[in-house]
Amino acid sequence: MSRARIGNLVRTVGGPLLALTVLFVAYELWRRISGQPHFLVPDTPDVIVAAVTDIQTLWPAAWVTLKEAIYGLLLATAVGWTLGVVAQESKILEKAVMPYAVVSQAIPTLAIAPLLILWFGFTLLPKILVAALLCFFPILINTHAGMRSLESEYLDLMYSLEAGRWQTLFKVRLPAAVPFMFAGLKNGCVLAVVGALVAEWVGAHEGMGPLIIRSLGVFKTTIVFAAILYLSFMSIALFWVVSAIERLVLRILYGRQSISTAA
Amino acid sequence: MADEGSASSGRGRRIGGRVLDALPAVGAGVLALAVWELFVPITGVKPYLLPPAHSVVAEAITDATDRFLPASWITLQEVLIGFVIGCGLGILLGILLSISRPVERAVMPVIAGVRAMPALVVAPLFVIWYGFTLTPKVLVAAFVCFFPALVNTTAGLTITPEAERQLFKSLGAGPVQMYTKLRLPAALPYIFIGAKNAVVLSVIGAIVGEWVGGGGGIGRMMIDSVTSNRTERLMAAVAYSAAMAISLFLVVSALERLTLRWYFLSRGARSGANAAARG
Repeated sequence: MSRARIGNLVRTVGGPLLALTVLFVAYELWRRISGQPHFLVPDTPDVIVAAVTDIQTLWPAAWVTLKEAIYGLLLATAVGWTLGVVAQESKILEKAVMPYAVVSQAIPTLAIAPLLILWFGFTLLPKILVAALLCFFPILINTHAGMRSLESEYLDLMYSLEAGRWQTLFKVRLPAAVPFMFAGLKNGCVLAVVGALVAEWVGAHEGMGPLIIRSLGVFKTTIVFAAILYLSFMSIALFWVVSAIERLVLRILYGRQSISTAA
Repeated sequence: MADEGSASSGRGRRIGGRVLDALPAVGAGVLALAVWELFVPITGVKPYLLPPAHSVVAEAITDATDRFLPASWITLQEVLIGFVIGCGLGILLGILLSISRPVERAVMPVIAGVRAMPALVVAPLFVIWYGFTLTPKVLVAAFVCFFPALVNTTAGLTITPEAERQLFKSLGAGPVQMYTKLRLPAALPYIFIGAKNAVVLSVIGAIVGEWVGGGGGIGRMMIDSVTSNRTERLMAAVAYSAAMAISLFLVVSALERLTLRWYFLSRGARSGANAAARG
């Protein structure tokens, strides 16, 4: 393993864990200084104990939310990647779709969750759709930016070699866009979890959302904190998986040498 | 631009090109509205599931002063206070961290890792800590927009162009000059990207805070409309929240233009900064 690769690994694996630790240390400090009552602000060891001992309540709920997030992420990726690539190839589609993608960044898309709950009820589908909707636009925008990221010399070269449209697309444009496509996808990991969770808050019988609300109602704050831990690990795990897939794909595309620079 | 006439015809062509550019997007929007409007009578969907477009617009206008504007005002207060606190603290901490190189290096992975954390998760916690008041919504809004502000400020301050840095050094600039004349101005476009991101997030934060924590506001109205099956009111409320977020986004963009213009008096520097902001 080269130094760069180890550094890369530490960054993707260690960063989120380190951030989580820092947040909990800050929380613990705040708890001690503010002196809040125990049932409102549990201490960190209790939370960790609850995360382990109450796994029978937490894991089934976590699995429901995780499923929603994964399905949502897959749906958004399929549509976002395809549309991002096609929008580059068809100018009229690009002009019809991309302005809305840009405007979507200035709109609280999450606000549509109650509407989807109203349409599809307390089932899995509206949560998947909210998760997908939330991460769709970053994925689309990144893919589209990736498709346009090529310097024109490459395109001129392909043109002078009389490469066809499809050859240019598959041999030059797409490979160049891959890091961007994954950047959007990595962004989407957190958003998918947030989307699934918030949609559950609006209307669901099972999953992390209802579990949190129920536990709050009876002041079981340790469970709530344990749930937050689970949710954080969930998005971190998704992030890791996507990063691992990205490394694999980049290695296939670019070979060993340029992995760290391409990533 | 030697010839006045060719310049103006160039501008005319540019405006024509703009209209032509916007045509597909406008067409798609109109088409979607038409499909929505016609979908209801043709398929016979119950209006409480999908009210036709015009009844949503009617609802948004007739109930504006009674319902939507007062509710929006409550949410807007939460958003603005939360945004100022969260974004302000984020930028401030980003600037503080960047003063010392070693501290910045140590903190960078943590900040990058924070982006993998679902910040909205804390909403219900703030609600039981601070009750059904304004405070928990303000805190959720502040909490969710703190991180993008921090991340972008740190990113902007770390990627000062190396060539400029060398130039400043060779001209004998001290650390303070280096900071106020080079690093901070170079970071401004990034800081504003963070702020634009943050203002939309703070709208989301306030709305989700209301979903979980009751009280008044446009978010609460959405939930009440769902439970009473008033879909046209729900859709109008969504439209109001979107309008709020877009307006705030535009306000921050205007602030960005003003600040950058004030900071970069020369035209070349300004267009460079704009290019950086876009990129």
